[in-house]
Amino acid sequence: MIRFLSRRILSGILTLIAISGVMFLLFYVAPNDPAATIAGPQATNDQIDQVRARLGLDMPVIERYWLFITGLFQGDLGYSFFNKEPVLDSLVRRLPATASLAVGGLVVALGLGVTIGVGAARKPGSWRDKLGTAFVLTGLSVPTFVAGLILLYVFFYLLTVMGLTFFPAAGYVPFTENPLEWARHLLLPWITVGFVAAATYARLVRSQLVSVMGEDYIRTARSKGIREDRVVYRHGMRNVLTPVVTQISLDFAILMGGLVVTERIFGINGIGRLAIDSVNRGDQPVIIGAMLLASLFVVIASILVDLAYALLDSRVRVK
Amino acid sequence: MPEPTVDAPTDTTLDNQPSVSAASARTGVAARSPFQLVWSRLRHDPTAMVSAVVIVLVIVAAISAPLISGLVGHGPDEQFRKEGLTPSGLPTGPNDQFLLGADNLGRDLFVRLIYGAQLSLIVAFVATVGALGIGTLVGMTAGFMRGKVDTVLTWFMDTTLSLPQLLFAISLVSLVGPSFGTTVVVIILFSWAPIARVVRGQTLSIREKEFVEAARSLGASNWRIMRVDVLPNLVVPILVYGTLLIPQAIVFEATLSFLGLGVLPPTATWGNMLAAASTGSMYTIAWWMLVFPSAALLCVTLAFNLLGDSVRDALDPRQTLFAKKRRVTKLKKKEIAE
Amino acid sequence: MLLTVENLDVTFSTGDGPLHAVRGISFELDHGQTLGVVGESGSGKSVSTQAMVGLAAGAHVTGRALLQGRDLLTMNPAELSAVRGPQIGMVFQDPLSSLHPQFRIGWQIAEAIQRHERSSAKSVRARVIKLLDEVGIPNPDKRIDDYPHQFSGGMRQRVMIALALALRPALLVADEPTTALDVTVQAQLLDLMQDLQREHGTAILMITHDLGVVAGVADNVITMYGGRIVERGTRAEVLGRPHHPYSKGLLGSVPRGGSQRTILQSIPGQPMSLLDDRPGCPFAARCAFVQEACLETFPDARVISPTQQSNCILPTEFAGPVVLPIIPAAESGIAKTGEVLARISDVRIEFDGARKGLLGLTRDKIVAVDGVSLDIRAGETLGIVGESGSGKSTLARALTGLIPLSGGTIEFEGEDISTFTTAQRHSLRRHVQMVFQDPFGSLNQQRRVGSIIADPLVIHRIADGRNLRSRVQDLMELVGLNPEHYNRFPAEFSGGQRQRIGIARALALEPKLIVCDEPVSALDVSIQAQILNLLSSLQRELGLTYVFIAHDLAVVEHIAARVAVMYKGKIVESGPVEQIYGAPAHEYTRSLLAAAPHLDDVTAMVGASSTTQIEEAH
Repeated sequence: MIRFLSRRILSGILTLIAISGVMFLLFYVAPNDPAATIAGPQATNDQIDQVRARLGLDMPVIERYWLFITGLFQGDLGYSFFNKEPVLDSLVRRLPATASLAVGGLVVALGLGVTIGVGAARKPGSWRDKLGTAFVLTGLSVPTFVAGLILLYVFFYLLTVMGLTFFPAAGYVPFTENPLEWARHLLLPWITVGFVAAATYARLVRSQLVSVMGEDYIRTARSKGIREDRVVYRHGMRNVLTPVVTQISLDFAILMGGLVVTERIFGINGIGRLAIDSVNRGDQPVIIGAMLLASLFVVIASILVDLAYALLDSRVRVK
Repeated sequence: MPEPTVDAPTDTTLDNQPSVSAASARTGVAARSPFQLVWSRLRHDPTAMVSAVVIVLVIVAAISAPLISGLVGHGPDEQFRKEGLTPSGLPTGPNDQFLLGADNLGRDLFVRLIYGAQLSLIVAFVATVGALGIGTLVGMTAGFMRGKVDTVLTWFMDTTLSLPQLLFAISLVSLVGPSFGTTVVVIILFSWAPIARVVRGQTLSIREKEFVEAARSLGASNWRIMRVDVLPNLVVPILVYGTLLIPQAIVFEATLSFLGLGVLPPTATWGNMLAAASTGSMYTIAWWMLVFPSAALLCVTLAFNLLGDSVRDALDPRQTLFAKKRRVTKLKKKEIAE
Repeated sequence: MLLTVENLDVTFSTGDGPLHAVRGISFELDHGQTLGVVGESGSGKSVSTQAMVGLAAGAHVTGRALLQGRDLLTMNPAELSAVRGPQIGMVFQDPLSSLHPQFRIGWQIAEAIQRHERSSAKSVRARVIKLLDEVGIPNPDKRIDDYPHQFSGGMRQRVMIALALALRPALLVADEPTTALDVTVQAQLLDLMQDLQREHGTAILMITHDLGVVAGVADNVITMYGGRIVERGTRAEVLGRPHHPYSKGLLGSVPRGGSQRTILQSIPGQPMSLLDDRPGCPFAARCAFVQEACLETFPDARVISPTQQSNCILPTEFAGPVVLPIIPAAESGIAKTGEVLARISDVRIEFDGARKGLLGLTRDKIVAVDGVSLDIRAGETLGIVGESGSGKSTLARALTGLIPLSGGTIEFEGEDISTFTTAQRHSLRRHVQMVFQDPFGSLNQQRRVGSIIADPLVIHRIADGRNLRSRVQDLMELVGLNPEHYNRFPAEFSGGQRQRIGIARALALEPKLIVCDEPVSALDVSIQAQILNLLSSLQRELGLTYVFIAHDLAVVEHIAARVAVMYKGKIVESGPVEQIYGAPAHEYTRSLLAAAPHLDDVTAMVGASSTTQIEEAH
């Protein structure tokens, strides 16, 4: 177990270093000059050079990368080109909003996906199965932003027109301030993020459960006279857990993408929003910081999932 | 080679008389290639046929976009500030001049939608072919070579998969600048890894099959085994993945365009049409700007997804939705195992 | 009567039409008795019992199945599930997949008890420990908390038996309970089941394809073919003086001790398809005695003796023991053992095992073959017997140069193959070929049969174009395939025919040595005999040398002249078949031979007392 963990952590760190390296290289070879962007369109060449020196952009790229990596290990991600705020601070400040959105979305996705998947798998070929399949295929076909726009149109605009304003159009209220408002503001974004991801889980649970229910040990459980509900939920679902948990780690990267769009549509000031804004401003340190933070989450999630996987599987746990 | 007569007291020659089971002879399954079988299953699947018709229609419409534009008399990027906008500057809804209404700049939504289809499909096809090519090559090499090659390639796959795709994509686009080419490259960049993963897994399991060992014992080279024994058995997953990748690519392109990082306006794409609808909540006054592009996008992606599902069912009947059929194949397998 | 089945009929609807799996069967089973149900793939033997207890999903079942007077077929799912466990216990074929991998074995047995009885957790645990002890699990109080993967296959099947018998059901349905296990383990398990049967008076419905198993344990025997019961009677009657041509064919197909130099009576043709719903006797298409009437209606039962009935129109006198014809001594393989063709000296083969160390950079070594030496003489058949994990298949692959050696040498015609260059190794393939175990896995499903058989000729650039096609068709004819099926795909052939394709491919290069790795173990008995006979006749005609690897002692005895017994990577004993089977020197060989089911005991027992011995008319 320790051997396994140490291997995973090592490869996770390698991944992060590789990503930051690639980002650095990309910015280096990119045609546009951040110093010129920041100095403004009217700036003279001297002014641009001044900006470049102030930002440290005049140093060789290897040296800059080395400084960045050493800083990284001390928790220093550099400063924003745009407002000179430490990158780490601005990321941390926006983390709660993004985390609320991500966790809630995942919960919606799992709840919806597992329910639909199990319902479909219990009677393959039934109308419930066909509805489930329809849901899955719709979910896989709808881009997050379309789902978000339609939700906004129906639940915000049409309801407001009818005089029922329940959902706010945009914004985020911290949980610590007002839990109820927090949930009210996030409900539509959660459904947006969750709906699209739910399709993946519904499909996965259905196909896994159908194949598990054909296993010999399910026949054994039935031959003992165990009731069908218990056969499905206890014996069947036990072995569907592992692939579902694995899927969560694979999904995490995709979920992050969903957040960028959702934050934009619902006006939530999270990390995704910050990333888009920084891209438009050419604020390199912030972009790299956001990228690394997101990658870090993905890496951590995948390590946690591998751990959970080992704990869930008796064949790995008990040697 | 000598011609021994195998007429020993046992009648081994009798073996091939009823040969193919009576049932398969009766249903005419005999002597049909796996491809023909799949085709006949697909033809009898209404969902697959409807999806295929939808896709063909969209493709035809996309190809004849200039023709349609000429018929209607509206260019895709032409602004009709007088006819398309109300005196207060708001877009007009669907009417006999603007079939699906006009957008915020007074352009014909219908014509733009068809031009958007053209772009979406081209981006999706090119990206899918590229991603399938790279994914197959990398996956097959990793799975077949194993060892260090596999370790390195798998690391690349895993790293690509663990990248926050959209974030990475937007920073990439911000550097290189949005364009048609960038969009295709970005989609390929994030689509090859899942294919490579699937292909690698399949290759790993195929190379453990006895027929690969048999080929090896015959003296076949690695190259021949890859070409003759591994690749044909990969066609099924590649084909299935391909049909499912097209809608993903369409969605990816639309998302990038929506964020203003795909193909740039005024060129019409479904993504930037929807972006126009959402800017300043235009859709609250002009619902058609939201509804029609969304519907078009959904129809096409849904058709591809449904077709992909059907293709998979037809290629592998064990995965089919119909329980009884499944059960029986399973029973047959069991009986064989006896 | 404990169980009375009347007119049981099972149908599944499939995309290709209705599949009539069981066609109106009736039988009875009394308390404490064992009924053996024998049949090959597709005979309906497993489906019938699973449908009876409601475990065959999607089946349409009619008829009656009275268990202690109550009809199982009219029960609703809740009533049926209350019967499964306390009244009917079940053991299935594959112990590796029949227990839930994620639950402790004790929990799985306790769950069955608690479903049907109210009792405290503590007393249930004590009961489970006692049950595990009863089925011979050592240290049951500790092992109760282990997971299935911590047990061997045989031990897992013991757990399954404990589970099935936990509530002391009156009926135990054992569906191929020992098929997946080695012979020594099989013998122990059959003994265990018989002990428990005597102790608790359990009736056993033993479903199996293995006549040896039936010969060992059954009181009465039913033979099934194509969803129908074709013959029934006591064990001695059905095995000793069978009447139905199918029962006779089955018995004639099984190699047994002392059957060397005989020709197996294979049943021609392929097993019938259950989708085929023609009237008449299902066996008619393969029967040598078929008459007009057989094609129209299924014959009524003919009473052979008060206890024996056969559904066949042949006269009663047809019943009699099966005697196999003998090949004239001059033709037998033993006479012509030539010079040494290949020599295996002190061969050792290792594989990488589990990772070691903090980062897993080093690995354990697993020794699969450990110092094996053998000579293979031109024209002979060398049998290698061993149980699973003995290293016999690894040795076979090393012999064909597929696996590198970790130590020792293999010489072919005096040259050490491990020192071969790539080109030399390539030409070695022309002389050494292999026939594989799995008739489904060893052929690429995506390619046409003609091109599969042509592969070796193309790879070695021996033939092309029209020449190639005629060579391939010659080969197909040689192995008994219709050359016109050149363009078909493997999926259109049955298991036996696919194995013929594999043999044709191996023959294409006219090799000197053919290594056969369990070539018949995946086939039905009647098909097995066809393939064994084909291999023998090809050897006689083409002067081939075989290395024949199998776990089935009787098959090896039938085909080989010399035999080597492998155990844990070593050869414990080798020599002529007569010597090894007649006077085994090593203890392991003796235990293997003792464990192998002996069909001969039963047939000999009946044959001696029988008055009418009819020579086969084949």
